[in-house]
Amino acid sequence: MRNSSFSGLTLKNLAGGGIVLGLVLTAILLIFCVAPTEATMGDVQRILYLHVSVAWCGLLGCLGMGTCGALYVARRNLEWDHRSQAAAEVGWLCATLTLVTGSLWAHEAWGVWWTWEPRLTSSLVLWLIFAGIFLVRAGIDEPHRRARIGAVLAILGLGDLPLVVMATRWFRGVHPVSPEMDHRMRLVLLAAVVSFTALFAFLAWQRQRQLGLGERVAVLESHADVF
Amino acid sequence: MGTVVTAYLVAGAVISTYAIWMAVQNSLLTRRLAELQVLSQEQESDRPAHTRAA
Repeated sequence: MRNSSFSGLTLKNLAGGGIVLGLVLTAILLIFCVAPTEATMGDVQRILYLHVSVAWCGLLGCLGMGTCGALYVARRNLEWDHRSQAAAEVGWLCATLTLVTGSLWAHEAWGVWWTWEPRLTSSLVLWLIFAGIFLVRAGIDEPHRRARIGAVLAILGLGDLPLVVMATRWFRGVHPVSPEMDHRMRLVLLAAVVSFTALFAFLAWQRQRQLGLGERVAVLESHADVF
Repeated sequence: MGTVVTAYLVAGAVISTYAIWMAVQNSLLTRRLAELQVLSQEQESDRPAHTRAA
């Protein structure tokens, strides 16, 4: 039996979850209590710390999805497919939050919930790429076929990454490029990005483990003739 | 301040829903795996000795 290893992992998970939760709570405390209030926008500017952090994690998710997909193609090991899927799921979650928090920001700063400017449009395309890959994967039962097709789409999806990152420099739009910030604001932003990256990594690690567990259950179920 | 609080609450709700869903799935899968392993061991011990896996 593997129960002992499960309980061992649970302890590791709890410790990891506790550390990540502590980091995120500290970042939120810094955002609301240490970061100074911005002169022009006021308190609404505090959305930026969350928006930039989740946007960064969404991009990391896309990078992780494509890289792990490429490694699956090279090695044909389903563990890389699980990593790719886990990164995609958490990346999609972050891309969704990027669009929501960006929309809230846009409403306060520009007076509109959405505008078809380059950074926003390329971010929406990234969200659609994630969603499209999930839809395609959901329609395929055979694990290696699903992994192969998912990997090809994930690698193609990487093409949107430079567009999102460079949109504000390559095209003219209303999205700020790199606004001037007080040094305390920069430090709080750094703390927020680090803590959300830790949260992203923890969630992706948990999901990847879970996908491996699901695979083992599926194999045992297919081999057992009494169930 | 209302918009800021809304943004942080939405983010918190989305992330915690995903984390809770994952914890529930994990628990169900772990239990199912343990059941399958017990059943597979029982099945193995019920077989005649000369047909068991080495």
